[in-house]
Amino acid sequence: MNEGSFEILEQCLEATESGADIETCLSPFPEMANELRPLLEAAQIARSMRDDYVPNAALQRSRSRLLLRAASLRKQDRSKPGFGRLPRIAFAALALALLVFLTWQGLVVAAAKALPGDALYPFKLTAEDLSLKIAQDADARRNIEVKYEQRRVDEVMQLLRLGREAKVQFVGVLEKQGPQSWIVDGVPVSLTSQTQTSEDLENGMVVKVSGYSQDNGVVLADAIHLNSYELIGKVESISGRAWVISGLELQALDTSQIDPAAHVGDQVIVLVGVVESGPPQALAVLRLLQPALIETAVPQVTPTFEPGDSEMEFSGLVEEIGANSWTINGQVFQITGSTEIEENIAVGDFVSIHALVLPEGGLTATEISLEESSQSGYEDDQIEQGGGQISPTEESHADQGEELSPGTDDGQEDTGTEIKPGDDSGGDKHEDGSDDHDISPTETSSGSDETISTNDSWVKDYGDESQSGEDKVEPVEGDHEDDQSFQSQLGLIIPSGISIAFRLPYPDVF
Amino acid sequence: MNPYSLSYCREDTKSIRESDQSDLMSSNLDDLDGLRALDHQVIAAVHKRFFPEIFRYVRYRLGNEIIAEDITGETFTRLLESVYSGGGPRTNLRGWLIGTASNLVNDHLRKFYAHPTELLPEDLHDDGPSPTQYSEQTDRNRQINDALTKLTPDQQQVIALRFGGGYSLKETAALMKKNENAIKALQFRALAALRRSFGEDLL
Repeated sequence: MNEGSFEILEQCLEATESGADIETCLSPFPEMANELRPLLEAAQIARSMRDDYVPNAALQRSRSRLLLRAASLRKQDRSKPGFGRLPRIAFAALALALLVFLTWQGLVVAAAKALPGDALYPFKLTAEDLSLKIAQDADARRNIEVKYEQRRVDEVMQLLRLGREAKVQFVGVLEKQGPQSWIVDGVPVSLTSQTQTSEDLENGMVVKVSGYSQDNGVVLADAIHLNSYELIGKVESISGRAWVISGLELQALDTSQIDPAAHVGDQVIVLVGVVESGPPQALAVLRLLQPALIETAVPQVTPTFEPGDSEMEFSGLVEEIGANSWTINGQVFQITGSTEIEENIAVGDFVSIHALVLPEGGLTATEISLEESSQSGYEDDQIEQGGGQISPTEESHADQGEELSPGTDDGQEDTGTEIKPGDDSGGDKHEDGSDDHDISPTETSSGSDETISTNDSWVKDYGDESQSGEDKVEPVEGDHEDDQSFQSQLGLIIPSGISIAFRLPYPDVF
Repeated sequence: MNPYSLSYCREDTKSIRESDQSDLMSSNLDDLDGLRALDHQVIAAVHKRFFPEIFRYVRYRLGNEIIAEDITGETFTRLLESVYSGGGPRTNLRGWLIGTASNLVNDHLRKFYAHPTELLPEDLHDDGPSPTQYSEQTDRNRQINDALTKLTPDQQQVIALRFGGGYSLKETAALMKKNENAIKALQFRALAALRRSFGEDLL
């Protein structure tokens, strides 16, 4: 057996494949014949088993199975786009990313209950920062911020319950100021001579407290600074992001929620953020007297005047007195010779108006008189404007039912003021003397998400104050003892509950 | 009776391969792209072109049409999945199919001899020729097949390709990825072993 044998065998195999006889093929190689003949015979036997027929049914079955498999792969391809063709390195990268993600998620879950001072607490804060950064829009970000602010307060409360000492920092509404002990969002805060505080802090303002939780259940404050507050004022100028509202220069941010309908001259409510350096920030600006807002939030307080209606009664603040018309709460009333006008009414007085709706539109006053408790002052004016419209007495009583039911205080009914929205529970709180809690941010924020509701609580608070019949607004009791500042240089400081107004999803409202 | 049981693809192997010479050594890249994209038409065309060859090769090696159909089907499924996931043949589609079918046959034989089972007799298979047509050849074929399975996988492969499939020396060398001299030596030893395995009964 050598290469010669292999070659001769190959020649004979090719010859016999072509139909030649074995002996004919071997005749040129007689010395190899005995060796190769059995092999060529074996080759012939092997060839005899050749079968070229292929069952058609087998082919069709196989093809059907193959096409089904292709369809199955295509379906997988659709459900996992691109995965089928990703190189293995990409799978490895994905797996690594997944591992990192799961590890991170595990840390986040583990850190969820961490308190200041715990080893995992920094992970909790980092995870919160991340979720803030990936918030979809300013509204979502604001909601998350509010949630995290509340979480900080909850953490402090828990630390105090546990009697643990840790460095804490939280933001909350200043609820009570004593000589050395304040209450911020329900957290007792102790002040020492070393504690740094912003000037002119007033109840209702949102402050940032830095300090240490103590085992005696209070937070020893290192610093209490103003964080944000709300004011109502008039837009004096808008230049890019620079706003001037009631003389206060404010800077809007990318994340600020700005009412697109707010223009110069509008009355707005602003959430002002205080920063260590630079001008205060306009975190949110919401235009008051926004018809769309009123209609969307509580349409029932926006009466429609149909010509031919009977005489209606309104109440409001006199803004302008002209020869032929008066402007009361932004509404112009025509004055005719037959209009009965009480003497000594001046701009700023709170009056009651009887008027007729003219067929061509507009209102003609038939009688204007001072309200019995007309000295409700500026705040009631704001209330009216916050409500957005002057409400006709008849309609508010007739149509608005429980939504606009008068407060439970007798005095409130006596005022004749027709905007008395609010639920009975608000009135009850007044009666039981827990006035400070009535405007507690926690209660309000959890109970109301709508601007009008916020205004309701506001009306409840300060509408009641009008009962006093005095010229100046005076606090009813309790924590409002320091709130003579409603007319501060910045405008009106609003109880914290009003901040709900800024959490409205503007796109939905406007 | 299955209506297909007596119908066959009476194709001339040689004529097919002659018309297909161009892609014996290399694959049509468009076909591979079509397979990768799971294009039904391309899949059906590739299957139609190569199924008979692969089926005949497997049936020759195993002597059983049912198993041959299964293994041939599995070969094409693996082709599809490999190409789809970025693998599969790069240049020689036929070589890849024959090589994969050969591996599947070797696996089958290994399992079969590790756990011998009684195969269904060919004459019970609906799709094949009628028992009458096969009756005379069945015993002889089984003997030949038994003898063949006693060879090494490479020897079985070269016998199946050269005498079962009718491939030339050059084609066989390409399909087995060996040079022609190695095939000459391999077929010499394979035929000698087969001859010994046949004994005197088949001669």
